[in-house]
Amino acid sequence: MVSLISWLINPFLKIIKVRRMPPAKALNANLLGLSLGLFLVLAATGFQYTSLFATQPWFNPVILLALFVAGIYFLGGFFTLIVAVSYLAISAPPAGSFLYSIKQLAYWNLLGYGFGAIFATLYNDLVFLYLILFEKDKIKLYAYFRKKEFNILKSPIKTEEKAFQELLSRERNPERHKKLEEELKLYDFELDEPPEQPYTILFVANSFVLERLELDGLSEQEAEGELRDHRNNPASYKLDPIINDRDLFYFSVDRALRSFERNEVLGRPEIWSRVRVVTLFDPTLCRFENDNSEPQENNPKIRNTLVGEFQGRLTIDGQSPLNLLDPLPEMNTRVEYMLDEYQTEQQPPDKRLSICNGDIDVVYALSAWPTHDRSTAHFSDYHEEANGSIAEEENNIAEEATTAQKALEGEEFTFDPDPHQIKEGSIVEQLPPASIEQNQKNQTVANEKAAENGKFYHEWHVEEPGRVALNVIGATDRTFIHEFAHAMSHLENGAITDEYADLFELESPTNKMGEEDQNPEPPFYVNRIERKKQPDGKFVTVHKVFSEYNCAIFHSDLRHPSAKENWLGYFPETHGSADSCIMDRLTNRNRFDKVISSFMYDRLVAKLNRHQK
Amino acid sequence: MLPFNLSFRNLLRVSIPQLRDDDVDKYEAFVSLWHQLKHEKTVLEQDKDKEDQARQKKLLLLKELQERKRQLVQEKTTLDEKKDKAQYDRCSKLISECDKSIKKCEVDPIKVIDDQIKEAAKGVNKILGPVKAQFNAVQRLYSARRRLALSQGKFLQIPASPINFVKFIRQILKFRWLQIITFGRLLGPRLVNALKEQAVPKLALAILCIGGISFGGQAFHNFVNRIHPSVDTNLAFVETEVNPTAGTTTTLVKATTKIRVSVGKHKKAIASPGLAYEPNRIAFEIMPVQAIMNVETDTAKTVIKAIMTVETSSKPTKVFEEINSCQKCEFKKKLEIEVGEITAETILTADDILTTTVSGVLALKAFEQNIKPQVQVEIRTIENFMLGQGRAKIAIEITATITQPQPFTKKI
Repeated sequence: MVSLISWLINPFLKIIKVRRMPPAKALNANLLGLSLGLFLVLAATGFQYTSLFATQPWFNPVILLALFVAGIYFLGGFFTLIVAVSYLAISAPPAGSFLYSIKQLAYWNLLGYGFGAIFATLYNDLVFLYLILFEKDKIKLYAYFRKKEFNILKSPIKTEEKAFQELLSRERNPERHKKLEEELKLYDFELDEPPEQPYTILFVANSFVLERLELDGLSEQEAEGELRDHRNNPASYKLDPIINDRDLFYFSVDRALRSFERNEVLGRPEIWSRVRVVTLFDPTLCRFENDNSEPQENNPKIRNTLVGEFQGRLTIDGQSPLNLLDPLPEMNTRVEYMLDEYQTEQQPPDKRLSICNGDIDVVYALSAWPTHDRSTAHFSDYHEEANGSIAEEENNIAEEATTAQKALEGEEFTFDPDPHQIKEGSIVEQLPPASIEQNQKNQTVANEKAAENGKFYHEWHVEEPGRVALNVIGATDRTFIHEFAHAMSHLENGAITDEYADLFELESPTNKMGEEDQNPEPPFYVNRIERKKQPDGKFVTVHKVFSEYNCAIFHSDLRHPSAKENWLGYFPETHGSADSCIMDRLTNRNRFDKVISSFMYDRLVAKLNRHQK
Repeated sequence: MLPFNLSFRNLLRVSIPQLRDDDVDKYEAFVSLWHQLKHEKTVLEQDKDKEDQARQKKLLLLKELQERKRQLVQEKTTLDEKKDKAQYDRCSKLISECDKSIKKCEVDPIKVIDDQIKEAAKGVNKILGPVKAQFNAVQRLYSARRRLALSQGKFLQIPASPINFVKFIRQILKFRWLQIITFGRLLGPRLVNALKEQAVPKLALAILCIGGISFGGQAFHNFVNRIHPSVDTNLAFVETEVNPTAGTTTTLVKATTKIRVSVGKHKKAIASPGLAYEPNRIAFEIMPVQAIMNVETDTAKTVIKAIMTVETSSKPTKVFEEINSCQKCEFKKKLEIEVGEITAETILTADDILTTTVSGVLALKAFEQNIKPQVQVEIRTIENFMLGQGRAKIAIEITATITQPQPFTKKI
């Protein structure tokens, strides 16, 4: 009943409440229905064998039962639909015939499914009612406006959470109001002083997807020209299904919030309490679907596209096998444009946005594109050439002007990938003689780089937020935090990279042992150090000490496959032997490496304590 | 970019068994590496100031090296290899080192990365090339499955609104449709793999399973048969087309095109009259009867059973032995039957059909035992009375006469 009521009234609610229920045993209506359906089919076969199958050959019941078991196992609820249709289609078969047996078993199957599904639904309703009525204090929620394009789901500045505040405003009594807030609010943190500019994560529903252009067989120049035309052609942009599915969008945002708040770095109270989460869902953007009139940036369809199918020349017989969704180079410019549109005076006051592009640190463009379901992220302040895009050129000019200034505004930190080379005294004493000798021999590319600069910055503000193209269909809860780690890091001031890829996979002669090392210098990775070739042509062994970050020593992960001779890079150790890093392959327990945890924590804290730009 | 979702990986491995775990790992690593290299390349391309400085430095170094090499080559030509061997060797070594350094200076880092990207592409091609179509099919299937899972509600497990319910149904249909259209494509690799690597054990297992099921099914069937000896329907089937020239009446052919007769334990029993006939284990099912008229099949069965179990003068319950032993057999039976939707027309039809049916069955039974009898059945309604709700009870008397025109030969 509750299900039915909620089902009917949901489309008419102004404010949607997203509840976090306490752990409760809920029944899966479909599964229970299927189980009971199968049980009744088996029971009917056993108890009514003589009337159903006695006049038939012995294999008929076997075939029928196999059909039911396989159908229920492989097709699930859909099989019930087929059974229902069959039941209605078979009319008055002669008793004892095969059709008669099918009809009888279908009857019992439907009866079991119906009973199970209804029972489970009623049970869930009762549990739901019980929780709502008697366990109020255990239910926490946040809210959003169903019809508004912008919603601030959580913010350290309470007044920004307008939907929740409106829910509370229904309570006139101030004391009760306060109590209600404490009782209900999911992210209820008491801050003496909210940050001037909270760390802001923006979730945008992507409206169109740029299709991939196959460039097989073209020269570099031809490919560039083709690509430019492709990008400027509105017909290359297809509607993203998520723009028409508000529930899917907010459901995905909720998954992201769960992923963030459970993470041991981002979810720490001192950080999570100061993080702002903003959503932008504007279904009106899909009205441009058939607008192919204006070419290039003026076309609203192109202007509102944030992600595209992965565009590269990595193909199999001319087709991309990657299924990657990639943030477009113009993504941030376009988000900025969108935000500006909602800040104009023409917008009604209740729709006007209180934040601007400069406030945003990470942008998630959520998509439900069916063919490319793997997500990718780009670091903060990462610029790409957009092959002739005007917006991008303007962006690059702005970026160049502020790069020098930007570096000065931030928390300084030191990162030394090979502390023994510089400070032998402090660390070397702790290691056995063999290690000392080994470590002294070791030289890394990153070491040279660090020796040159030595100091880096957790910059307070970024010119371009980290951007993530996330496909909600292929994403798991871990995907959100994994991509966040990429996007929040900075290409110059410490990038967090994947820990499951290495050049050793390539068969290039330049990477084989004993041959000339021609690999260019990689960027500054927080969680990866390259091995350098020694004069004898062999790569150095993995350092026992990975790095020294802000005077703290972090060790290398010697259990990781990278500790083998053929890997060209190695990674920091994890918290425990049973853990694996979130940036690495999937296992049961995933946490960030120790050095990533420290780096990320410091970086977030630095940003949370920044002043208004 | 995260490695494959475990459920996708599982689906991939199940659907394309040719892809091993190592292959999938490598594929993931290649793609991630590709992405990483792309980042690195972009950094190199964009860091124009630094790049220019580095390039100028390199050019200077290159010039110096080339000059040094030229000097060394000049010096070497002036030396006599035999007289001043040490100096000559030193020059040669220095020249080769210069060559190495020049070579290193000439390397363009962007070109190196480009080469690596191409190699990554080759690596991916090598892994996925042979199963590209299957991979795409699995990807589509997985995507549809995930989308379907996301369409369901959360705690209450129903889509949040009627519109979402429609979307949910659409997703179900889409997913099932994809399952159908990708079935053939995904079956291929599995079959090939099964034939290549697991044919023998799987075949053995399949034979064992089929054997087990057939033995078990038959045993169960026999068991039920044994514990319900009085049940007259628990018999093997014999399906016989009625041949109008074989001695059955014309009316039978008109009324019923096919008569299904269940007799005895198995077919042999039919061919051996008198051996396996047990009256209470004989059943007839006249399929079209129910469709043609309102007399239920059970009623028809009751009538036929009554005839077959009728007590004759010599040996009770064995009708055909009676037929065999004498040229003419006559028996009578009275019984009451219930019919529904009774009308005058129904009664008439019922009588007619019953007559036809009984005649036909008896004729057929006789025919199956090499008897070509003439059968005459008369059913006379003694009385009928209404039971209410459109049902009525009819008391009928059945008189059947079977005439054996020729002496019966026992052996068939």
